Amino acid sequence: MTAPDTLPPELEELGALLREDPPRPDPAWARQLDARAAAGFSRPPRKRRWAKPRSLFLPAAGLAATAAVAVIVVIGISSAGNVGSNDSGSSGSGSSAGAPAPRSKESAGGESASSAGLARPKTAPPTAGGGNPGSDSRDARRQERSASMTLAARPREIEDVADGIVRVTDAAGGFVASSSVSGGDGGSFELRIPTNRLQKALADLSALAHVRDRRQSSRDITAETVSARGRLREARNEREGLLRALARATTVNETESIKARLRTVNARIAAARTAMRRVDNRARYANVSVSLVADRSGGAAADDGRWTPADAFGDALRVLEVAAGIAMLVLAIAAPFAILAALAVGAARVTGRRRRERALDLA
Amino acid sequence: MVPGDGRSTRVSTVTLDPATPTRPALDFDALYRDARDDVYAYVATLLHDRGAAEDVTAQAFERAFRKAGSYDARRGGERAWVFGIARHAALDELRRRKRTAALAADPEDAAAPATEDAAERALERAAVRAALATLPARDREVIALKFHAGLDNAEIAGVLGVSATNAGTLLHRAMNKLREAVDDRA
Repeated sequence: MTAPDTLPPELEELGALLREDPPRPDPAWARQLDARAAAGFSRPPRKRRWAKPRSLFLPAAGLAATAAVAVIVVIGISSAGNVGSNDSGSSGSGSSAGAPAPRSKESAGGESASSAGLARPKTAPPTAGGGNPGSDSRDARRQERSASMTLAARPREIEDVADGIVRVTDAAGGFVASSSVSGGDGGSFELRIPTNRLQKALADLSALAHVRDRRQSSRDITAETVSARGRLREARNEREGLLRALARATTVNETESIKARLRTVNARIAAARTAMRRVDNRARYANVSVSLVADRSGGAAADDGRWTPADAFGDALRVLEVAAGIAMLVLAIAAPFAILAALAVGAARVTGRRRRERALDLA
Repeated sequence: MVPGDGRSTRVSTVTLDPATPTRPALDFDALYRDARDDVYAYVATLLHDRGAAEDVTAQAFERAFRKAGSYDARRGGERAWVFGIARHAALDELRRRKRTAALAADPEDAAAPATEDAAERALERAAVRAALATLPARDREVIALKFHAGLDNAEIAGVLGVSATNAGTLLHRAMNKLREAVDDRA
């Protein structure tokens, strides 16, 4: 219920007397105040003690917050970039890009070993394997290298990517050992690529489509090479000895016996040569298995290194994610302070109001 | 209102700011002309000190002038707003100075009462004024807001920060006290 504005008659009579007799200002003071009001109270505002510090504090705080945000954004973006680099690095190195593969002592760093020849220039730059290439006599060792990768492409791009795989293989001086492509479902390729062109070929293959998986490995076949070479040398020495014995043979039986042994040795020499060629081919050509799969999610756009609108969208999304994360952090940090500040302001207001009211009671 | 002409007339002119059409801007000049004497009367009744009332009234209008941009008509009338500022200034003055000096005598009517009725009325006014001076500040305040400033109960409630019902109750109690004080002095 709202109390009416009217009062009982006896009180209204008092009110009328009060209305007739309010305290009236001094006319001189009133004129002075009129003049000040007309001039817009032009008296310069009193400087508050905290005015200057606050005016400096706010821009400084804003600057500091901006700098902090910028630093966090840069750190976030650079860390994201590092993650990407590590990913690409792992996919391009001898280790597995997906599941970690055990690396034997022989295979460790084998990626950087010389391709076919036994001799390797000692000035060759160290590669992803790390360490000095000559520190473990890798320059005198032979490596069999192999790689596998899985490429994902849109179904309608499968044929083009398959053609690209063959084209890259030819350009590298290699050949397709076997291939199988089925329409828009994908396919598989077994490639032989000269070891000294393996890295470029892998890079070219990776540029054809989205690389889902890429692995490289190397296997030390020095022992097999030495063994084959030793067998060949041994057979050749035996053949030379037999030839000398044949020259010294005087009887028919002796001659026939030596010739029979020569045939056997010649067969062993041929086998040793074949083994040597096989080992040599294993060192000269790397086995590359390429699996081409269809990706119907649309996220398998070929990454040819160009910055596409899709990349821009992804980057923008990433920036927004980082910004949102920063905003959350700032909010998490600032919220308690803001709550405390609000409570302090509220308490100060209540206290001020109570003090004023107390002053009224004391008056 | 023209200074010195006694009671002011209520002016509720509100101009619209073209930049913010939905928020009426304060016509400070009109408000000043309308409320100057009323604010002074209210502050003088509350402080019981003419000099302090002049200072506080000037301070209140200066504050109102500087804070005119923050006036929001949706939160109450402009008179209630300026009286709220004046109240803060007056209470700050009370708190700072603990001033309870007796109200300097108001100038008596310049002209002598022309008739016997007028003389009787002048005596009644003097008795009421004297009785008012004996009331506690809270009672003087609500009476001044009602009868010197001309605020209605809702506006008084806005100034005091209470409900309109409570404002009416406070006013009724204060007037009863005034009645008793007048009777005691008779």
